Amino acid sequence: MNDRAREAELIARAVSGDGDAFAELVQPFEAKVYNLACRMCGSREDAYDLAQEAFLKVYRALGRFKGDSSFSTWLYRVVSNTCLDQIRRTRRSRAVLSLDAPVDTEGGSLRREPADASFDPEDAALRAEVQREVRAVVLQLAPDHRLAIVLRDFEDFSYEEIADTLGWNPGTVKSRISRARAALRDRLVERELLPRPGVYSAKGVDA
Amino acid sequence: MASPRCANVRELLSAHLDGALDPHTRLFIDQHLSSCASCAAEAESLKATVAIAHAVPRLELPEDFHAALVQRARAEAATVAAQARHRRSARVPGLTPGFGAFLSGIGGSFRRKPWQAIAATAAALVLVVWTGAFAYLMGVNVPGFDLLGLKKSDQQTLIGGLDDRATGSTPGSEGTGNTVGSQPPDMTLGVGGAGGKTGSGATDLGSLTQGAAGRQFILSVYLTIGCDKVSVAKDRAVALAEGAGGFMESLNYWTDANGLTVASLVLRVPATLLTPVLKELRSLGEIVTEQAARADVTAQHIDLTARVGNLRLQEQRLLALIGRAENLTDLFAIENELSRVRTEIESYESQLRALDEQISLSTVSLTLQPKGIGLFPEASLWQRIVEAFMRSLKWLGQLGGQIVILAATLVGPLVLLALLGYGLYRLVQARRRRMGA
Ligand SMILES: [Zn+2]
Repeated sequence: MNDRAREAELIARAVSGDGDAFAELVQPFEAKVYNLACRMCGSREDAYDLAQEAFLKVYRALGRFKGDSSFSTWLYRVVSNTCLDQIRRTRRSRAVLSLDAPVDTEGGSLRREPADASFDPEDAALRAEVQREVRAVVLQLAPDHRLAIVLRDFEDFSYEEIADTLGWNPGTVKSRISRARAALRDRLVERELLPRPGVYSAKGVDA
Repeated sequence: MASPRCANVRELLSAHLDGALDPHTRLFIDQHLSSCASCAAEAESLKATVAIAHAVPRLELPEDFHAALVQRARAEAATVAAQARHRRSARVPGLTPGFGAFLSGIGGSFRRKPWQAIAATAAALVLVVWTGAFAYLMGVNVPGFDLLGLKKSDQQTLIGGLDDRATGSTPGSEGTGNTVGSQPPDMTLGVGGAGGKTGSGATDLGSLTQGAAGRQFILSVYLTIGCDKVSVAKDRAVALAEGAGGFMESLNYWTDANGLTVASLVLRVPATLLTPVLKELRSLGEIVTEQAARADVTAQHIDLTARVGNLRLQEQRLLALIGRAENLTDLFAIENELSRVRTEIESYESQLRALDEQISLSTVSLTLQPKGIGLFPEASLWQRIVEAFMRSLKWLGQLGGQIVILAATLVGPLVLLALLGYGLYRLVQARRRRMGA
């Protein structure tokens, strides 16, 4: 493949000290990495610095890239770890949602509520307050859960790609994404930005 | 939702939404959703959440991001290069002291007459450069281990020798039967003594593939043939393999030390047709070497089949467990285990397929070379010693000649240097005399 050959050539040149080759190598990833950093740390200024720092880390570590995964997987591994380190180092006093306890969705006391048929998620996503809530709730997730939902739902990684990138086993990937999404859903419902799940029954009907 | 089953289902809804569950779990969830309105509503709400997350607009990359990165990368590259230079220069002193001492040792005797030191250094430099260029141009030869007759590394262990008797019984190969039959019998039994010895005890190839009850073998044949025209023989060999339902796996041309082109190809031939194909291949020219290797993979085959069987049972058990999981931890553990088991099954099955392919397709490594080259010296030990001695004499003769040539080449610059040096010496002497006066 031509792209692969080009990539390998750029990597070789970058390793031998060609900074421009490195810049060309990572240019296709810049916007994605910047977005990832933004979702992970919340502020654009911090994200800018974080993304730059992550790319430099990639550059310094490039000599250790042995090609046993694809370059993009390896790059995202370095970037993800840089983000996690950064978050852990500057952990704000902000409360972090603990998702290790099962999400409590017991709805026994809830009244039945008809589903809101007019609700359109894509319209909702364009509302500034929805975007703000989404951003806020993601920032309250524990770093691992945050990374999981950012990679899956904002950066469109597949489950396998996340598992490969972060070295998590498939079950961990599924459970972290599931918990993070449930937290996001609960928050949106709480703020009445998303209709409450339409139908509740006091007892499981299939029990 | 008091049912533990509902809790399990909800934990899996997110992965279900992305189609990331294995087919059985997916079916289980679908069935549950069609009968449990509460979980179905939960699924809808989750779906809307994910749709919102997906629709949140992406941020534009700040305009100066790339330029800033280029700058930082260049700075980083400069730092790295500087560090590398530092490491390199740190290594050099290890080499220089010896050279430095050598120079200062020479310099010592010239301390009072610096011009002599300069002249000596210049002369030494000219000599070194001249000799280096000479050695480079002549390509200094060192007698290698080929003097000892060790040109070829030991071949793979011979398991079975090939026997022409086997080919006679195969119909459809009569046309070339005579040519093959005319080969001296020991030629087909492999190279050197080993092939002959093991060959005499081994069964013929035809029965190796089919005969041995229930055993499975991978057969490999190594054949070197001297032929009139390498390219013609190569085309014919490929056609033979393809005609038998096989194919050419690889082809390699190279030119040997004598400028002759040799073709080395790997043919895959159905094991059942190996004998007749071999017979035709032998008729492409004179057999230089022939060896056959047989690997018994029966145990490996049985082992792999058993492993796959066991894993399939495990898979069934895990699937039965999914519906009965008591809590989320169990459920994820089962899910994980299931995907691990499936991965293993796939891996073993692909190994089995590869093994079956190797069993059903024998490998013929065929070397085609122009007639008259012997790969392996058939000479006796004494002949080889004599030959090696003669070769060393010849090499010594060549070396002597080269030394004479080297000396002759050096005469020119030496005379030139002597003249220069003498002129310079006279000049300085004259100047000194004038100063003294
Ligand atoms: Zn249910």
